[in-house]
Amino acid sequence: MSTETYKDVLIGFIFILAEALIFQHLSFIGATPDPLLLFVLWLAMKYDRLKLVLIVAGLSLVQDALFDFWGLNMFSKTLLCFMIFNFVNRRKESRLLIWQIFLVIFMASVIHNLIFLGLTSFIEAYTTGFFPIIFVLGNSLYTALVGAMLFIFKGN
Amino acid sequence: MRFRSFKLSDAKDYIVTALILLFAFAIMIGRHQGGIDTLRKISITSFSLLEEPLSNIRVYRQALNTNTYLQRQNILLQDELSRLRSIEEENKQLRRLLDYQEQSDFDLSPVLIVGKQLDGLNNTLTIDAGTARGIKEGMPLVSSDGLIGKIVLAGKNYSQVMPYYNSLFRISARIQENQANGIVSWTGDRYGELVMDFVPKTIVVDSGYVVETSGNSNQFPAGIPIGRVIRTEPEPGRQIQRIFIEPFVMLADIAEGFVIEFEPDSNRTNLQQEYNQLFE
Repeated sequence: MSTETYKDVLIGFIFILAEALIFQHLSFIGATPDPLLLFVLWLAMKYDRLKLVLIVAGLSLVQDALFDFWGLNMFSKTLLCFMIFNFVNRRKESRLLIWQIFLVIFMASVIHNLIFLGLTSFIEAYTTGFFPIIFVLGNSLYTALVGAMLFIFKGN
Repeated sequence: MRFRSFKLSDAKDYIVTALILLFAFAIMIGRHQGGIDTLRKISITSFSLLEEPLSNIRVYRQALNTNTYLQRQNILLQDELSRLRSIEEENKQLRRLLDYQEQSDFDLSPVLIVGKQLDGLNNTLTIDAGTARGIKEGMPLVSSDGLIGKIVLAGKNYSQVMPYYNSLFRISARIQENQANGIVSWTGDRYGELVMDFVPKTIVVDSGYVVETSGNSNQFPAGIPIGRVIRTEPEPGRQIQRIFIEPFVMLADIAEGFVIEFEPDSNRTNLQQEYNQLFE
Protein backbone atom coordinates (compact mmCIF):
# COMPACT_ATOMS: atom_id res chain seq x y z
CA MET A 1 0.00 0.00 0.00
CA SER A 2 1.38 3.37 -1.00
CA THR A 3 1.62 6.46 1.16
CA GLU A 4 -1.18 7.97 -0.88
CA THR A 5 -3.43 5.04 0.03
CA TYR A 6 -2.58 5.40 3.73
CA LYS A 7 -3.37 9.07 3.48
CA ASP A 8 -6.72 8.36 1.88
CA VAL A 9 -7.56 5.74 4.51
CA LEU A 10 -6.71 8.28 7.20
CA ILE A 11 -8.95 10.86 5.52
CA GLY A 12 -11.65 8.18 5.41
CA PHE A 13 -11.33 7.76 9.18
CA ILE A 14 -11.68 11.51 9.57
CA PHE A 15 -14.89 11.39 7.53
CA ILE A 16 -16.22 8.61 9.76
CA LEU A 17 -15.30 10.57 12.88
CA ALA A 18 -16.92 13.66 11.39
CA GLU A 19 -20.10 11.69 10.90
CA ALA A 20 -19.99 10.26 14.41
CA LEU A 21 -19.15 13.48 16.16
CA ILE A 22 -20.80 16.15 14.04
CA PHE A 23 -23.09 15.13 11.21
CA GLN A 24 -25.23 12.67 13.14
CA HIS A 25 -26.16 15.54 15.45
CA LEU A 26 -27.14 17.79 12.57
CA SER A 27 -30.27 15.87 11.69
CA PHE A 28 -32.98 17.64 9.77
CA ILE A 29 -36.47 16.12 10.12
CA GLY A 30 -34.77 12.89 11.03
CA ALA A 31 -32.41 12.82 8.04
CA THR A 32 -28.63 12.78 8.44
CA PRO A 33 -25.92 12.92 5.78
CA ASP A 34 -23.42 10.14 5.09
CA PRO A 35 -20.06 11.84 4.56
CA LEU A 36 -18.24 8.53 4.08
CA LEU A 37 -20.35 7.93 0.99
CA LEU A 38 -19.09 11.19 -0.49
CA PHE A 39 -15.53 10.17 0.20
CA VAL A 40 -16.14 6.74 -1.30
CA LEU A 41 -17.49 8.31 -4.50
CA TRP A 42 -14.43 10.50 -4.68
CA LEU A 43 -12.19 7.44 -4.16
CA ALA A 44 -13.94 5.73 -7.08
CA MET A 45 -12.37 8.27 -9.40
CA LYS A 46 -8.92 7.62 -8.00
CA TYR A 47 -8.41 3.88 -7.57
CA ASP A 48 -9.01 0.75 -9.59
CA ARG A 49 -11.99 -1.34 -8.65
CA LEU A 50 -10.21 -3.94 -6.53
CA LYS A 51 -8.36 -1.42 -4.44
CA LEU A 52 -11.47 0.70 -4.13
CA VAL A 53 -13.55 -2.23 -2.94
CA LEU A 54 -10.94 -3.18 -0.33
CA ILE A 55 -10.53 0.35 1.03
CA VAL A 56 -14.28 0.93 1.11
CA ALA A 57 -14.90 -2.40 2.85
CA GLY A 58 -12.35 -1.52 5.55
CA LEU A 59 -13.63 1.98 6.11
CA SER A 60 -17.29 0.98 6.13
CA LEU A 61 -16.52 -1.80 8.61
CA VAL A 62 -15.13 0.86 10.95
CA GLN A 63 -18.26 2.92 10.32
CA ASP A 64 -20.40 -0.11 11.14
CA ALA A 65 -18.45 -0.75 14.31
CA LEU A 66 -18.91 2.83 15.50
CA PHE A 67 -22.64 2.92 14.76
CA ASP A 68 -23.33 -0.70 15.73
CA PHE A 69 -24.57 -1.59 12.25
CA TRP A 70 -22.13 -4.45 11.81
CA GLY A 71 -21.98 -5.38 8.14
CA LEU A 72 -24.79 -3.20 6.81
CA ASN A 73 -22.65 -0.29 5.60
CA MET A 74 -19.90 -2.66 4.59
CA PHE A 75 -22.27 -4.62 2.39
CA SER A 76 -24.15 -1.67 0.89
CA LYS A 77 -21.10 0.54 0.26
CA THR A 78 -19.03 -2.27 -1.19
CA LEU A 79 -21.87 -3.33 -3.48
CA LEU A 80 -22.50 0.28 -4.48
CA CYS A 81 -18.85 0.84 -5.34
CA PHE A 82 -18.74 -2.34 -7.32
CA MET A 83 -21.83 -1.35 -9.30
CA ILE A 84 -21.10 2.30 -10.01
CA PHE A 85 -17.34 2.02 -10.45
CA ASN A 86 -17.52 1.96 -14.25
CA PHE A 87 -20.00 4.85 -14.37
CA VAL A 88 -17.89 7.07 -12.14
CA ASN A 89 -14.62 6.01 -13.66
CA ARG A 90 -15.74 6.89 -17.19
CA ARG A 91 -16.57 10.44 -16.11
CA LYS A 92 -13.50 11.17 -14.03
CA GLU A 93 -11.88 13.20 -16.80
CA SER A 94 -14.95 15.30 -17.55
CA ARG A 95 -15.69 18.35 -15.49
CA LEU A 96 -19.15 18.04 -13.97
CA LEU A 97 -21.47 20.91 -13.16
CA ILE A 98 -22.82 21.40 -9.66
CA TRP A 99 -26.27 20.02 -10.46
CA GLN A 100 -24.67 16.97 -12.10
CA ILE A 101 -22.58 16.39 -8.99
CA PHE A 102 -25.70 16.75 -6.88
CA LEU A 103 -27.61 14.30 -9.07
CA VAL A 104 -24.81 11.71 -9.13
CA ILE A 105 -24.41 11.82 -5.35
CA PHE A 106 -28.17 11.73 -4.85
CA MET A 107 -28.63 8.69 -7.12
CA ALA A 108 -25.68 6.88 -5.54
CA SER A 109 -27.03 7.65 -2.10
CA VAL A 110 -30.52 6.44 -3.03
CA ILE A 111 -29.06 3.15 -4.30
CA HIS A 112 -26.92 2.80 -1.18
CA ASN A 113 -29.85 3.54 1.13
CA LEU A 114 -32.13 1.16 -0.73
CA ILE A 115 -29.60 -1.65 -0.36
CA PHE A 116 -29.17 -0.69 3.29
CA LEU A 117 -32.92 -0.63 3.85
CA GLY A 118 -33.41 -3.91 2.03
CA LEU A 119 -30.80 -5.54 4.24
CA THR A 120 -32.29 -4.16 7.44
CA SER A 121 -35.69 -5.47 6.40
CA PHE A 122 -34.12 -8.83 5.62
CA ILE A 123 -32.19 -9.02 8.88
CA GLU A 124 -35.18 -7.64 10.82
CA ALA A 125 -32.94 -6.23 13.49
CA TYR A 126 -33.04 -2.50 12.74
CA THR A 127 -36.33 -1.86 10.96
CA THR A 128 -38.06 -0.30 13.94
CA GLY A 129 -35.59 2.57 14.05
CA PHE A 130 -36.07 3.81 10.49
CA PHE A 131 -38.73 5.77 8.72
CA PRO A 132 -38.15 4.47 5.15
CA ILE A 133 -39.00 7.57 3.08
CA ILE A 134 -36.97 9.88 5.28
CA PHE A 135 -34.15 7.39 5.35
CA VAL A 136 -34.01 6.86 1.58
CA LEU A 137 -34.93 10.30 0.24
CA GLY A 138 -34.12 12.55 3.19
CA ASN A 139 -30.69 11.11 3.85
CA SER A 140 -29.92 11.07 0.12
CA LEU A 141 -30.92 14.68 -0.39
CA TYR A 142 -28.98 15.76 2.70
CA THR A 143 -25.90 13.79 1.58
CA ALA A 144 -26.16 15.24 -1.93
CA LEU A 145 -26.49 18.73 -0.49
CA VAL A 146 -23.40 18.30 1.68
CA GLY A 147 -21.54 16.84 -1.31
CA ALA A 148 -22.54 19.76 -3.52
CA MET A 149 -21.35 22.18 -0.85
CA LEU A 150 -18.06 20.33 -0.54
CA PHE A 151 -17.74 20.51 -4.31
CA ILE A 152 -18.28 24.27 -4.23
CA PHE A 153 -15.66 24.79 -1.53
CA LYS A 154 -13.15 22.17 -2.57
CA GLY A 155 -13.69 21.75 -6.33
CA ASN A 156 -13.17 18.43 -8.09
CA MET B 1 -12.31 -18.83 -34.39
CA ARG B 2 -10.78 -17.14 -31.38
CA PHE B 3 -11.49 -18.17 -27.79
CA ARG B 4 -10.99 -15.71 -25.04
CA SER B 5 -8.87 -17.35 -22.41
CA PHE B 6 -10.15 -17.12 -18.83
CA LYS B 7 -7.70 -15.64 -16.36
CA LEU B 8 -8.22 -15.64 -12.63
CA SER B 9 -6.89 -12.08 -12.42
CA ASP B 10 -9.78 -10.86 -14.56
CA ALA B 11 -12.29 -12.20 -12.08
CA LYS B 12 -10.35 -11.02 -9.06
CA ASP B 13 -12.59 -7.97 -8.54
CA TYR B 14 -15.68 -10.10 -8.57
CA ILE B 15 -14.26 -12.72 -6.26
CA VAL B 16 -12.93 -10.22 -3.72
CA THR B 17 -16.18 -8.26 -3.79
CA ALA B 18 -18.17 -11.44 -3.34
CA LEU B 19 -15.99 -12.47 -0.42
CA ILE B 20 -16.35 -9.06 1.19
CA LEU B 21 -20.11 -9.14 0.74
CA LEU B 22 -20.20 -12.61 2.17
CA PHE B 23 -18.12 -11.48 5.12
CA ALA B 24 -20.38 -8.49 5.66
CA PHE B 25 -23.42 -10.72 5.51
CA ALA B 26 -21.84 -13.08 8.02
CA ILE B 27 -21.19 -10.21 10.41
CA MET B 28 -24.80 -9.09 10.01
CA ILE B 29 -26.07 -12.53 10.87
CA GLY B 30 -23.52 -12.80 13.67
CA ARG B 31 -24.71 -9.50 15.17
CA HIS B 32 -28.29 -10.59 14.87
CA GLN B 33 -27.58 -13.86 16.65
CA GLY B 34 -25.37 -12.32 19.32
CA GLY B 35 -22.15 -13.79 17.97
CA ILE B 36 -20.14 -10.57 18.08
CA ASP B 37 -21.30 -9.14 21.34
CA THR B 38 -17.76 -8.69 22.63
CA LEU B 39 -16.85 -6.67 19.56
CA ARG B 40 -20.00 -4.66 19.94
CA LYS B 41 -19.15 -3.87 23.56
CA ILE B 42 -15.72 -2.66 22.50
CA SER B 43 -17.15 -0.54 19.69
CA ILE B 44 -19.83 0.95 21.92
CA THR B 45 -17.20 1.80 24.54
CA SER B 46 -14.99 3.42 21.89
CA PHE B 47 -17.90 5.39 20.50
CA SER B 48 -18.92 6.52 23.96
CA LEU B 49 -15.40 7.76 24.63
CA LEU B 50 -15.54 9.75 21.41
CA GLU B 51 -18.99 11.09 22.18
CA GLU B 52 -18.35 12.02 25.79
CA PRO B 53 -16.67 15.40 25.17
CA LEU B 54 -19.49 16.35 22.83
CA SER B 55 -22.10 15.51 25.41
CA ASN B 56 -21.14 18.71 27.24
CA ILE B 57 -22.05 20.68 24.14
CA ARG B 58 -25.37 18.85 23.96
CA VAL B 59 -25.96 19.55 27.63
CA TYR B 60 -25.25 23.23 27.00
CA ARG B 61 -27.56 23.25 23.97
CA GLN B 62 -30.24 21.50 25.99
CA ALA B 63 -29.73 23.97 28.79
CA LEU B 64 -30.33 26.83 26.35
CA ASN B 65 -33.56 25.21 25.19
CA THR B 66 -34.58 24.56 28.79
CA ASN B 67 -33.76 28.14 29.62
CA THR B 68 -36.02 29.43 26.84
CA TYR B 69 -38.79 27.09 27.96
CA LEU B 70 -38.43 28.16 31.59
CA GLN B 71 -38.44 31.83 30.64
CA ARG B 72 -41.69 31.30 28.75
CA GLN B 73 -43.13 29.42 31.72
CA ASN B 74 -41.94 32.17 34.03
CA ILE B 75 -43.78 34.82 32.02
CA LEU B 76 -46.95 32.72 32.04
CA LEU B 77 -46.66 32.15 35.79
CA GLN B 78 -46.02 35.85 36.40
CA ASP B 79 -49.12 36.62 34.42
CA GLU B 80 -51.11 34.09 36.41
CA LEU B 81 -49.69 35.40 39.69
CA SER B 82 -50.61 38.93 38.71
CA ARG B 83 -54.17 37.87 37.93
CA LEU B 84 -54.40 35.97 41.23
CA ARG B 85 -53.17 39.01 43.14
CA SER B 86 -55.73 41.13 41.38
CA ILE B 87 -58.46 38.61 42.24
CA GLU B 88 -57.25 38.45 45.85
CA GLU B 89 -57.40 42.23 46.11
CA GLU B 90 -60.85 42.28 44.57
CA ASN B 91 -61.90 39.54 46.98
CA LYS B 92 -60.66 41.54 49.98
CA GLN B 93 -62.44 44.62 48.73
CA LEU B 94 -65.69 42.72 48.22
CA ARG B 95 -65.39 41.21 51.70
CA ARG B 96 -64.89 44.69 53.17
CA LEU B 97 -67.92 45.90 51.27
CA LEU B 98 -69.98 42.98 52.54
CA ASP B 99 -68.91 43.70 56.12
CA TYR B 100 -69.70 47.36 55.63
CA GLN B 101 -73.13 46.53 54.23
CA GLU B 102 -73.91 44.37 57.25
CA GLN B 103 -72.69 46.92 59.77
CA SER B 104 -74.13 50.04 58.19
CA ASP B 105 -77.41 51.55 59.37
CA PHE B 106 -78.14 52.96 55.92
CA ASP B 107 -79.99 51.29 53.09
CA LEU B 108 -77.19 50.44 50.72
CA SER B 109 -77.39 49.53 47.06
CA PRO B 110 -74.24 47.81 45.74
CA VAL B 111 -72.98 49.17 42.43
CA LEU B 112 -70.09 48.65 40.07
CA ILE B 113 -68.09 51.61 38.88
CA VAL B 114 -68.12 51.06 35.15
CA GLY B 115 -66.53 54.31 34.03
CA LYS B 116 -63.96 56.72 35.42
CA GLN B 117 -62.92 60.09 34.12
CA LEU B 118 -60.29 61.44 36.44
CA ASP B 119 -58.12 63.42 34.10
CA GLY B 120 -59.45 66.95 34.42
CA LEU B 121 -61.25 69.44 36.59
CA ASN B 122 -64.63 67.97 35.67
CA ASN B 123 -63.96 64.50 37.00
CA THR B 124 -66.83 62.03 36.93
CA LEU B 125 -67.60 58.38 37.62
CA THR B 126 -70.27 56.19 36.08
CA ILE B 127 -72.04 53.43 37.99
CA ASP B 128 -74.15 50.55 36.72
CA ALA B 129 -77.32 51.47 38.55
CA GLY B 130 -80.00 54.02 37.80
CA THR B 131 -83.59 54.94 38.46
CA ALA B 132 -84.64 51.36 37.70
CA ARG B 133 -82.93 50.38 40.95
CA GLY B 134 -84.20 53.33 42.94
CA ILE B 135 -81.16 55.53 42.49
CA LYS B 136 -81.90 59.24 42.62
CA GLU B 137 -79.89 62.37 42.08
CA GLY B 138 -78.18 63.66 45.20
CA MET B 139 -77.63 60.24 46.79
CA PRO B 140 -74.13 59.67 48.12
CA LEU B 141 -71.81 57.00 46.77
CA VAL B 142 -69.56 55.40 49.37
CA SER B 143 -67.18 52.53 49.80
CA SER B 144 -66.25 50.66 52.96
CA ASP B 145 -63.49 53.26 53.50
CA GLY B 146 -65.62 56.35 53.14
CA LEU B 147 -67.23 58.87 50.85
CA ILE B 148 -66.70 58.75 47.10
CA GLY B 149 -69.10 61.33 45.73
CA LYS B 150 -72.73 61.99 44.94
CA ILE B 151 -75.10 61.12 42.13
CA VAL B 152 -75.55 64.09 39.83
CA LEU B 153 -77.36 62.43 36.96
CA ALA B 154 -79.53 59.32 37.19
CA GLY B 155 -80.45 57.43 34.04
CA LYS B 156 -82.55 54.30 33.90
CA ASN B 157 -79.67 51.84 34.24
CA TYR B 158 -76.61 54.04 34.72
CA SER B 159 -75.86 57.07 36.79
CA GLN B 160 -73.17 59.69 36.76
CA VAL B 161 -71.37 60.48 39.98
CA MET B 162 -69.54 63.62 40.92
CA PRO B 163 -66.57 62.42 43.01
CA TYR B 164 -64.93 64.53 45.66
CA TYR B 165 -62.18 65.25 43.13
CA ASN B 166 -64.39 67.73 41.31
CA SER B 167 -64.04 71.45 41.66
CA LEU B 168 -67.85 71.78 41.99
CA PHE B 169 -68.07 69.27 44.83
CA ARG B 170 -69.04 70.73 48.20
CA ILE B 171 -70.07 68.90 51.34
CA SER B 172 -70.90 69.90 54.86
CA ALA B 173 -68.43 68.17 57.17
CA ARG B 174 -67.29 68.02 60.75
CA ILE B 175 -64.21 66.98 62.60
CA GLN B 176 -64.95 63.86 64.58
CA GLU B 177 -62.73 64.77 67.55
CA ASN B 178 -64.13 68.25 68.26
CA GLN B 179 -67.32 68.42 66.15
CA ALA B 180 -66.07 71.57 64.38
CA ASN B 181 -68.07 72.18 61.22
CA GLY B 182 -66.89 73.32 57.83
CA ILE B 183 -67.22 72.81 54.09
CA VAL B 184 -65.06 70.27 52.32
CA SER B 185 -64.10 70.80 48.69
CA TRP B 186 -61.34 70.14 46.17
CA THR B 187 -59.22 73.03 44.98
CA GLY B 188 -58.28 71.30 41.76
CA ASP B 189 -54.59 71.87 42.43
CA ARG B 190 -53.55 68.37 43.29
CA TYR B 191 -54.90 64.90 43.77
CA GLY B 192 -54.70 63.29 47.19
CA GLU B 193 -55.75 66.40 49.06
CA LEU B 194 -59.09 68.02 49.96
CA VAL B 195 -59.61 71.22 51.91
CA MET B 196 -62.01 72.06 54.71
CA ASP B 197 -62.88 75.72 55.09
CA PHE B 198 -64.72 77.89 57.57
CA VAL B 199 -63.33 76.26 60.73
CA PRO B 200 -62.48 78.99 63.27
CA LYS B 201 -58.83 79.50 64.14
CA THR B 202 -59.71 79.14 67.80
CA ILE B 203 -60.49 75.46 67.34
CA VAL B 204 -57.43 73.31 67.67
CA VAL B 205 -57.10 70.83 64.84
CA ASP B 206 -54.27 68.33 64.79
CA SER B 207 -53.12 66.09 62.01
CA GLY B 208 -54.72 62.67 62.18
CA TYR B 209 -58.14 63.97 63.11
CA VAL B 210 -60.94 62.29 61.17
CA VAL B 211 -63.30 64.36 59.05
CA GLU B 212 -66.79 63.03 58.32
CA THR B 213 -70.06 64.27 56.91
CA SER B 214 -72.02 66.41 59.34
CA GLY B 215 -75.51 65.91 57.99
CA ASN B 216 -76.25 69.63 58.48
CA SER B 217 -76.90 70.24 54.81
CA ASN B 218 -79.69 67.63 54.75
CA GLN B 219 -78.03 66.31 51.57
CA PHE B 220 -75.91 63.50 53.05
CA PRO B 221 -76.45 61.47 56.20
CA ALA B 222 -74.10 62.28 59.04
CA GLY B 223 -71.09 60.14 59.93
CA ILE B 224 -69.72 59.12 56.54
CA PRO B 225 -65.90 59.24 56.83
CA ILE B 226 -64.24 61.58 54.34
CA GLY B 227 -60.58 61.69 55.28
CA ARG B 228 -57.86 62.43 57.77
CA VAL B 229 -56.37 65.83 58.57
CA ILE B 230 -52.81 66.18 57.32
CA ARG B 231 -52.12 69.87 58.11
CA THR B 232 -53.76 73.22 58.79
CA GLU B 233 -53.05 76.74 57.55
CA PRO B 234 -54.52 79.95 59.03
CA GLU B 235 -56.30 82.14 56.46
CA PRO B 236 -54.53 85.51 56.43
CA GLY B 237 -56.77 88.41 57.51
CA ARG B 238 -59.64 86.11 58.50
CA GLN B 239 -60.60 84.33 61.69
CA ILE B 240 -60.77 80.95 60.06
CA GLN B 241 -58.26 78.31 59.12
CA ARG B 242 -57.92 76.02 56.09
CA ILE B 243 -57.62 72.33 56.92
CA PHE B 244 -56.05 69.93 54.44
CA ILE B 245 -57.45 66.42 54.35
CA GLU B 246 -56.18 63.20 52.87
CA PRO B 247 -59.27 61.29 51.66
CA PHE B 248 -59.77 57.73 52.85
CA VAL B 249 -60.93 56.46 49.48
CA MET B 250 -58.45 56.29 46.61
CA LEU B 251 -60.54 57.01 43.55
CA ALA B 252 -57.99 55.47 41.21
CA ASP B 253 -58.32 52.07 42.93
CA ILE B 254 -62.02 51.67 43.56
CA ALA B 255 -64.14 49.41 41.39
CA GLU B 256 -67.23 48.88 43.53
CA GLY B 257 -69.24 50.90 45.96
CA PHE B 258 -72.62 51.46 47.57
CA VAL B 259 -75.20 54.08 46.89
CA ILE B 260 -76.77 55.17 50.16
CA GLU B 261 -80.47 55.38 49.52
CA PHE B 262 -80.78 58.56 51.49
CA GLU B 263 -83.42 61.17 50.82
CA PRO B 264 -83.38 64.60 52.46
CA ASP B 265 -85.85 65.10 55.31
CA SER B 266 -88.85 66.86 53.72
CA ASN B 267 -89.70 68.69 56.95
CA ARG B 268 -86.26 70.24 57.06
CA THR B 269 -86.43 71.07 53.35
CA ASN B 270 -89.82 72.76 53.74
CA LEU B 271 -88.63 74.66 56.79
CA GLN B 272 -85.59 75.88 54.89
CA GLN B 273 -87.78 77.02 51.99
CA GLU B 274 -90.08 78.90 54.37
CA TYR B 275 -87.12 80.56 56.01
CA ASN B 276 -85.74 81.63 52.65
CA GLN B 277 -89.13 83.09 51.68
CA LEU B 278 -89.04 85.38 54.71
CA PHE B 279 -86.13 87.28 53.20
CA GLU B 280 -87.34 87.38 49.59
